[in-house]
Amino acid sequence: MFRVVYMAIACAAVAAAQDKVTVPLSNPSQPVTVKVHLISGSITVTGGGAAGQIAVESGSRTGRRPPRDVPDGMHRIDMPVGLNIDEDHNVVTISAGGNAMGSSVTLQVPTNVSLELKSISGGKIEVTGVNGDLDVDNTNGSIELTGVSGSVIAASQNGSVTVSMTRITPNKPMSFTSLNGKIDVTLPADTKAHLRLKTDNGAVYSDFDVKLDPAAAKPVVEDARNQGGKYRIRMDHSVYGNINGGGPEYRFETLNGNILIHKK
Amino acid sequence: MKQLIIPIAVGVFAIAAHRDYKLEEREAFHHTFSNDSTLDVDAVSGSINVVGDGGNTIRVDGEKVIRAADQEEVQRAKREVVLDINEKNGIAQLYVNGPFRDNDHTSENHGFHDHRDREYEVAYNFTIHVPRATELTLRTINGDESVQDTTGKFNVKGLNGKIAMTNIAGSGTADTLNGSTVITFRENPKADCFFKSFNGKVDVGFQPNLSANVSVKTFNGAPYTDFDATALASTPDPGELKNGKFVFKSNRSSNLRIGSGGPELKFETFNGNIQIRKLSR
Repeated sequence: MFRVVYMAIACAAVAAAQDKVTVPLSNPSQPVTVKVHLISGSITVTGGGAAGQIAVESGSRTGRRPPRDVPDGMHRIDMPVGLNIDEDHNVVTISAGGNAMGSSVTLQVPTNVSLELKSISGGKIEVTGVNGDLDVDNTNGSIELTGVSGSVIAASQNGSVTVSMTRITPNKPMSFTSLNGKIDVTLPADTKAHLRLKTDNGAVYSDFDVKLDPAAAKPVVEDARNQGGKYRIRMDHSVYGNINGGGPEYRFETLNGNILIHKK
Repeated sequence: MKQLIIPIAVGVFAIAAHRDYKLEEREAFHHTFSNDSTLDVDAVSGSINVVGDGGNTIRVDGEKVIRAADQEEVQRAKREVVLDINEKNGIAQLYVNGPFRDNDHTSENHGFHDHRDREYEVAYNFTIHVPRATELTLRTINGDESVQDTTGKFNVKGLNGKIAMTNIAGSGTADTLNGSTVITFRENPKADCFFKSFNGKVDVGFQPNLSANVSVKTFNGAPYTDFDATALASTPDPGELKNGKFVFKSNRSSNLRIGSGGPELKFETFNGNIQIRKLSR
């Protein structure tokens, strides 16, 4: 039997509406996946927590944004984010109800955990010290993964993507993409990868020895004329290159921003 | 889920009630109940206005307003829609009865069922004077409800209309769907209360010496107060194991203490703002 601990923190003032929940894992010795899906808000995940459980804490949903239209002489009452959490066979799913503006969710997880973190607006997604398959998607905010290992798929639209990896899972493709943000990725020096690089209004910088592979960037010709179709040339504006002799494809792509690939 | 379904049904009702009928007939009536401690009004369309005063009886001044397409429909409305006036166990009851009530066929009208579309609408507007301490049970579907100067328990429910209670004491429930719930207490409630509007605002004024436990819940609205309030721990909810799955669902309410605590006052909206107001003496 797992013991479930619940605490609610009562602070002074009208603020401090919080949920604090410890989620027990069905089978701590097996792989664990944690999914957090927010419409609006920041997500912070820190590894190195106690085995067999995920500690979840949510801040109030008034957040940083100062409330508008406050009636004279009144103050706003903070509302809790209103988390829904469930755990099923080591898959923990966390979501927040409503349009909880400016909410924040903080997790303390065991080091070996795979993550799927998604938010649309209202904050940053930060992960520190986690080893696993990390799938992070933040439409309007930045992504910061520090001291992580395993494999990463990180996608933002309007924020920067900053990742530093201590170890990587070999032979697994990875992806670091944004539209209007900078991509800044630090990889171990011995990383073997086939890089696919693309930025429309930026530059690519690296201290890896990148062996460019122009052959991979050839346009693709699709000829369907003999079946009544079209003749089409698909131009791929990406640049390809190998580091340490090549390996799985690592995609780095942004429209308006630089791409930095650091060697650790 | 239930709450999400209701507005759709109500929308149909409201459209039906907005037809332009050529004929209008008004019929005033008056009734005095003998010696009741509770007023129970169950109406469908029209306003309910209750005023507490120093009298000893419940005095009803009402008006039946019929709007219809033609004279035949006026007569049909008169025949089909009636006000039942009842009295039992100290309860004075006004019940608007008509074919729209007969969904479960419990009325006495078990003869031929007239399925022609009704080309009329009937509204009852009530102004009811009551002894101040009278307990109130009021409900209507299309219309506003107002209460002034009473001190008894109250249970006021609306659907497409606002609830306004002014200068009251006592405790109870005020709950509507499409309208505001606005209340001022001349004496703070001594027992639990529930104030709700789904689409409108909830605005409740209390005397400055308020001492209560407050719970606030809203989906799209913003809650405000000018009382000094202390955040309380949420009701401990450790989550639970359901068929081997762990499940936690936040109750999404914010719990506060005003003064040294006391009765539980619940405020809830879906789309409107909530204001918990300190009245100046």
